[in-house]
Amino acid sequence: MRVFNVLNLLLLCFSTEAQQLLPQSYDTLIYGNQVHLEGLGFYQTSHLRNEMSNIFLRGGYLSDEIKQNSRLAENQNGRIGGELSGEVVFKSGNPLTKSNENLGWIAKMGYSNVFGAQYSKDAFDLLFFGNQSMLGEEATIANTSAFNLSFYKAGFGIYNRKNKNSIVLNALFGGSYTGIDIDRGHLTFSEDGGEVEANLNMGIQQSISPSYFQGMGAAIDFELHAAIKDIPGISGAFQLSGRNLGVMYFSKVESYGVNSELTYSGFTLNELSDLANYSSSDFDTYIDSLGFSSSQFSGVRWVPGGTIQAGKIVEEGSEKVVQSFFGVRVLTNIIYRPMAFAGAHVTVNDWLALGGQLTFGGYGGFRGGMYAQTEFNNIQLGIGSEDVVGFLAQSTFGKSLLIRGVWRLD
Amino acid sequence: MKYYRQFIPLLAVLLVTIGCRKEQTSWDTNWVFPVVKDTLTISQFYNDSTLEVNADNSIQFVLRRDIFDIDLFSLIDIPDTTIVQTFSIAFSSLSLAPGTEYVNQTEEHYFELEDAVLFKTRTKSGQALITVENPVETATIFEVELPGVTKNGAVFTQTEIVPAAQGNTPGVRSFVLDLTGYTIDMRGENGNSYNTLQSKMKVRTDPNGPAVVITNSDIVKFNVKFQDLTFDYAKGYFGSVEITDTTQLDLEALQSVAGGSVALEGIDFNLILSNGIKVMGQGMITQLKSTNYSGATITLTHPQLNSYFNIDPAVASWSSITPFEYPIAFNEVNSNINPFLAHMGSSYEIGYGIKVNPWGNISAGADEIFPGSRLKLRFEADFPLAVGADNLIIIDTFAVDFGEQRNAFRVESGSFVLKTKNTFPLGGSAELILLDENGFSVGTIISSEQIDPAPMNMLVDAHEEVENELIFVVNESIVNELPAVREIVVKVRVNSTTLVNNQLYDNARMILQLLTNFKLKATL
Repeated sequence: MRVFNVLNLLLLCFSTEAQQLLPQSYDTLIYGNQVHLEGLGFYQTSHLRNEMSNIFLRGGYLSDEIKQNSRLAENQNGRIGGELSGEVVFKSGNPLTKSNENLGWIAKMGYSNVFGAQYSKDAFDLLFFGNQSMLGEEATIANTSAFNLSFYKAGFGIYNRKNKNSIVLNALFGGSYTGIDIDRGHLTFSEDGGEVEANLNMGIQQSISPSYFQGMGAAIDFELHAAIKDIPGISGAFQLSGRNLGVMYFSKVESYGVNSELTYSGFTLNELSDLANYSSSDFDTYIDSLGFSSSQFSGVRWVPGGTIQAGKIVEEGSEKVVQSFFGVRVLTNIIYRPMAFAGAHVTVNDWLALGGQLTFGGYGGFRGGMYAQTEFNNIQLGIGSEDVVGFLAQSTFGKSLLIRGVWRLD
Repeated sequence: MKYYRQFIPLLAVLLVTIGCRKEQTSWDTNWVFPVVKDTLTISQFYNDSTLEVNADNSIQFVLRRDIFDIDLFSLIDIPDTTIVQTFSIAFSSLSLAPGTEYVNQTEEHYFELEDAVLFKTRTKSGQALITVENPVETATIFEVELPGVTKNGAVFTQTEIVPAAQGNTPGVRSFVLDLTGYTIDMRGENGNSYNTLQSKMKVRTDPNGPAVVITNSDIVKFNVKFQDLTFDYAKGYFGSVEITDTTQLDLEALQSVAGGSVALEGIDFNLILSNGIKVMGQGMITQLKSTNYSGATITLTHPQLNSYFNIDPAVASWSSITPFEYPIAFNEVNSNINPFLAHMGSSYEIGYGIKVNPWGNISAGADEIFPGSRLKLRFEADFPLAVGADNLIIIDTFAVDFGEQRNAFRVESGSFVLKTKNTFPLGGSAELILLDENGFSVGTIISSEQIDPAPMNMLVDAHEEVENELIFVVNESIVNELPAVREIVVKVRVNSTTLVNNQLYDNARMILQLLTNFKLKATL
């Protein structure tokens, strides 16, 4: 266990990001052995301001004003999601076969934790304001869902040393999985809080295998490139990439579900704490008393943080000082909206490039990003953010940090 | 190697960022939880025959409650009695052919009953345990008959086979005669005795056994034990008995009163001694004492208390019993009944004396007690329920358990909310007393709001419901004590607008609902 924790830390500390926005570059030069360290950490929200999420990250007290600022309007749904991941990639500089000197091999290992949630206004209000303002009224918590998945990956694949097309097959080792889905959810509180009429169709699932790896899976990473030709005013390359596209088999998942109309005799203080404390020994007893059925099963789940991105990328070694890049990204979960991005890459000199981009979609709305990339000797380093304002303003809706390092060994 | 050094600043920044110790995140939420709900409704007393509804929906206080109810069958107590009866032949020896009856003996069994004289009884329960010893070397047939002991006209008989003796060891047979439901003529074989039970024993040899020889040293032995005899009918003279005792009566409805006083109007209150037994007697009420919420007592006064009055026999038969009743009426003129009832006592102590046959057996043995015969003292009250309350304190206690303060949701502050719906013409203030598991107060909270008295409706046949919400602010010291709280006492101090003419109606009720409106600090 300790070994894996250290591995996590190292990956997250050293790694940098490749297939997210930092401008993907197209380089037809053939290199020798390379080590890529890629890291990504971001969260993005539709309504939850940074002044609130910062407190969740760093700790502290959420004042009423802070909560009010992140409150949804009537009939709105909020979204939040993010990822913390890192990868170490080794690209062999030697041809895999003598017959095809362009074919190299790739080995990689990494860790990823992806999470996402969407919630209704009343679900937010119930959690952060309590039931006092809902007495005698109906609270709607439908269309609320959440997931959290962590996993390790180890992969091997091949790539074209010249056009950089690649495909890697990864084995996934699931750490833990939690999923909540409320398809139908209406809670009507009596005037005195003494009764709650619930019309619910919801389920909670959590992997509970006693082994450290609670699931096994497979996923592919790939990159496909094509030079852009015959489009006036646009040069460079088109890239279609995918990451962590796969499935995970969980050997033991505990599932709680209810699909009926029930009347509960309110909550007591202890019961509220039991609900909040999922790991409490009283949780099973209490959830059973609420009319939930429980079962255990094994099954396959899509990896919710899988990424597909398509768009124009910049061309390394281009004589143009300014290059554009743009495209669209989708994640393999229902909470993430397709995100469009567009930006400009400026080559300042031989060792420095700067860039900026705008994005719209994902787990939130508009964001503005910047990055810097430097190269000296055999080292290429890049650091950037898809949400620069998020580091500066409390009223924004997320944070993003992307780091990439490439070490060309010979 | 020089390349590694270029990563060091980046590594340091990341390690510091990730390694920062994160304090907990917390926020406040407002939750309303019900604690308890209770309804004190006037109709709850209907089953107690305490209150009745008049034609105009007003409430009449009609209380009929037994203070004591004596079962005088306990006076006719026959102790467990064992009788040993033996038989031997008058000759030196006798040859017995199979089937020869050689014992036919009737005995009378006398019961020691002090000065009671019983001629006739009916057993409610009880039995005779019989053991027979057979000295002859053939089985014998034992037949027991109880002359005068009948059920539905049939005399009690039972036949048992006793095994043969083995050498000098007699054959032994034990069996039980169930006497339940039998009427016993206790006047003996000649009809001029009393307290006597007859038994006839017959013994004959086995008609299918061998001929045997019995000598005068062979002793047939009967052992009869009358055990646990109780009766539900008796006739005779029940003896001269004097009973003095003190009994206590608790009125639960008034146990919630903790202070103040009331004014009642038009009181009609009676103590009635009822004799359902055909026996002469005398009775006396020695005292009637009321103890209220504060432990203070008041004794009822009346000229007929503390002196014996005569009690005539009931007119009774198997089909009907008409008790003799002796009433003692209490009113504002002959007693202190008004202050006695306004004392709001929840515990009453009644002393009494009863003499049965104080003049001896002057009925010539005609005392008679039937299954439904009782000697009772009851009180009856009948007056319109018009209550004028003066700082009357009513308490209601609720069990609660707030549990330990947990990290997920901790109470920070808030209030208890007492919601009331009142249709009594009484209003007042309230306070909450929080008690720990040992019943000790850990805090008292007072509300500045009031419970309003209900006004009369337009038809003047009921009071209109009034709703109030009383807020009891929970301060930090109370919050800290909440995990220890096991009971909440709601103490309501009520007053009526006037002390007279506060007639209560059928719809009179007080709904108390205690809620918490807590600000909870959620912590992750």
